[in-house]
Amino acid sequence: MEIQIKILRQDRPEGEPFWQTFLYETEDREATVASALEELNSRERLTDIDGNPARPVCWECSCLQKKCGACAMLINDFPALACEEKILGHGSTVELKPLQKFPVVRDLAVDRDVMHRNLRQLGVWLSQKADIGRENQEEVFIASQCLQCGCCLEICTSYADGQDFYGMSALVPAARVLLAQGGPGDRRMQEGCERHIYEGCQGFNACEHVCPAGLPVTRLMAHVMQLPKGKLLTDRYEHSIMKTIYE
Amino acid sequence: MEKKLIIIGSGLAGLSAAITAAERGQKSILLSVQPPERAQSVLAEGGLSGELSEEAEALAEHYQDTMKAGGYLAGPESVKELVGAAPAVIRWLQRLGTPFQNDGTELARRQMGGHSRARTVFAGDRTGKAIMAALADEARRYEAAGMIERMSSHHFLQLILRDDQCRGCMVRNWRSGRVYQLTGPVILACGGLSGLFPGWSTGSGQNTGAAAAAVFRQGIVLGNLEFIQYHPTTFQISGKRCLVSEAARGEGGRLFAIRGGARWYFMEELYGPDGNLAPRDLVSRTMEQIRRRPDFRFGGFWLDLTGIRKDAWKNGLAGLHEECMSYLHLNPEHEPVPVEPGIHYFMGGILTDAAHRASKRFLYAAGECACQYHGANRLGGNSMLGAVWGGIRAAETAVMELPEFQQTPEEIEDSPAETAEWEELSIRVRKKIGEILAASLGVIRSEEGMEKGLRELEEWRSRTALSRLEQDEVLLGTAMLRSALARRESRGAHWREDCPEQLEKFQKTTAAFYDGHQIQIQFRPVPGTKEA
Ligand SMILES: Cc1cc2nc3c(=O)[nH]c(=O)nc-3n(C[C@H](O)[C@H](O)[C@H](O)COP(=O)(O)OP(=O)(O)OC[C@H]3O[C@@H](n4cnc5c(N)ncnc54)[C@H](O)[C@@H]3O)c2cc1C
Ligand code: SF4
Ligand code: SF4
Ligand code: FES
Repeated sequence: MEIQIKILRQDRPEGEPFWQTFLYETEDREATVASALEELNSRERLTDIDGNPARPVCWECSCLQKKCGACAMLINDFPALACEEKILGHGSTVELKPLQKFPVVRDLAVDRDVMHRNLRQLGVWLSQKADIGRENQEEVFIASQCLQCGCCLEICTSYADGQDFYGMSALVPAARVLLAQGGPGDRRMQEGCERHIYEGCQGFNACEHVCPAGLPVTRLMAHVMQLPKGKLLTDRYEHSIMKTIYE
Repeated sequence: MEKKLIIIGSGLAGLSAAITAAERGQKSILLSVQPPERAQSVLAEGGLSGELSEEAEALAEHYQDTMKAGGYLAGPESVKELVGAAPAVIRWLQRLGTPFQNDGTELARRQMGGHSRARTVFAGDRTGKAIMAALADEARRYEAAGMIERMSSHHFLQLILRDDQCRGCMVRNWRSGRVYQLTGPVILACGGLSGLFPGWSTGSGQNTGAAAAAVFRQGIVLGNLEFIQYHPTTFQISGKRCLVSEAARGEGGRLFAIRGGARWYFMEELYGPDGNLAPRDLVSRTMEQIRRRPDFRFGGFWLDLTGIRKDAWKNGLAGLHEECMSYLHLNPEHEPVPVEPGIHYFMGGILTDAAHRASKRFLYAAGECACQYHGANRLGGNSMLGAVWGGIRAAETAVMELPEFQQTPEEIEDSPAETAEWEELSIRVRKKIGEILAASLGVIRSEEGMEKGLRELEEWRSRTALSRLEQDEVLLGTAMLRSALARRESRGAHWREDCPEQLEKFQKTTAAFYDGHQIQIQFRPVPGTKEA
């Protein structure tokens, strides 16, 4: 089947976006948007539908099996992983756009550093030795699986640019730390989650619906919010590897 | 100016190195193409191998298993250190909040191939991701404290070498295109070479091998390049090979082939009841030999997982279950899974000593890009252990040696932007190199096949316009083939039908380096042995 892949491209962060369409041929029902992009970029000479030469399409990828979050983009206006979406599932035209909530670097690649900055802002790290009880083991495991792909932020009506409302890509890693710590939480992080996530969230769960890792974000949020408030913890460096070895 | 360590790569090895340096009060730059969440380490499934106590007998067994599986090419001193550090590494990761499965009192362990007992700790079948989340959080703490500077959209381009010393490296920010130089000792933690085999391997395409290729061109010694691990159980998905973790066989999975219309559980028949858990090189080779047998019509290989208990699926193999359903559209609890060997791991890489020093002063390597712990074949779970411990150990050495790293005034001036063009490495070129190498460096090799590979690579190179990075990759590919040709024996993952014996005289490290004109291949004593 012949598919038209329409890509919203941009040469530079401050450049003008423009559409370019490519023809892609496949009968493989398992072919993904990622494999289509790879095939386009493997061509000796890439030309668009009108035969004009085009430079390779810039997009991020790493694992090609839905485990690293690199390839998130808008596929027919829906945030998804390019390596998960089957290209034949979309009819004869597929539209690809970079995620719109982040600054574009080039073509489909965006700058998602804000997610990491917000984790820093919240102080998402352990301030004391972890103490994972049996009852929390599975929940900590689940909360450690966030891909930092940004799909949840893309779909969220409360999330704009990450200045005030941080969204679920911050909540999930914070939940990992709070639950791994055991006992009452780290007050600073708890208050941060309340202020920058809980208070701004409308609770319609669109984020959970799009999350490619299938994370139960609402449950994690409820779990975090239920934790008794802890003390303000100051950093102690007690889990040093060398200390662990020589103790 | 304040001295900083430069760490290339933010997988398990890079993160462990940066955290260790920070613990020692040493600042570092943590540079990678993409942030830690996208590193290949997040794909690791089955677990991390190591004893839980420092009991000497148990450590000795882990040591023996590792050395034996590696065909006695791993450095004995470093392997001793590695298995000895494992209990502490596991405790450390636990304290950082890695949710290793446990029953409230003791960590659960599973059996992986080639291990004489169950000594692999795990978090479901997403162990790598669980550990990476813990390390990334810990690194963030030091980042907030100003000890780690994260640069997660950069390519390493090449080293800056002067007077036999590594003085730093050239890097490019792929977002802005800016090329500049960084001064300081360099720890390479840039992962394996799976990106050199796009479509053929289970790993990440981000690990293009460009870093290893560049340092090779610059004269850094690489070791054991011919040892490529084919994992026996993988299947093709769009654009890559998907791994069926060895944990599946650890939980009771059984390999079979179709012979005369019936199931033949060949590993059990040929190697006894534990045959399914033989080391990976042996399983993959057996499969390849069966495929070539003229006496029956080969009908494919399958993994029978129907005997696995319900709770083992739920607690330990949920990811595999999901992958079988979504990629193969089959339920592995009821139907066998079609499998084939696929490229999975690179035992060879930047040759280091037990302290992780590479062949130039102030250059270190750790993780999958380094060569020392795994010899001719790696055991399941040993690579995550090697990556975490290697990162720690490399950083320890680098921090210790840092006072001797004297910065010159010109270096302190810093960063004259390089004007030379650094073009991107194209996927088309990587595919072509991968195609040639995969065909000639398969599970079973021959002189004829490898010579043909060399010729094809050379012919193709001579009629193709290649960028600098691409030429480096061809040079690295050539060195892999030349290393494999020079080792005229069969050992571990390197199996030659024209030289099927394992020979005493090849119990050596294959050292490959480029002298500026040609590739040199030498057989050197294994580091840490009496001869060395
Ligand atoms: C599917 C799969 C399952 C596995 N399961 C297990 C398991 O169960 N147990 C086990 O022990 N091992 C397992 N392994 C192997 C193990 O995961 C890896 O060997 C290990 O994680 C490697 O870690 P690393 O830190 O060396 O490199 P990686 O995690 O690969 O990280 C490499 C880093 O280097 C960076 N980089 C690469 N090139 C450049 C460049 N040119 N410039 C700048 N940065 C660069 C990347 O961005 C990345 O940050 C598995 C591997 C795969 C593929
Ligand atoms: S529930 Fe709705 S508002 Fe809240 S984070 Fe999810 S998408 Fe955003
Ligand atoms: S919560 Fe889900 S959608 Fe959001 S960043 Fe994590 S993995 Fe992606
Ligand atoms: S490439 Fe990793 S999730 Fe798509």
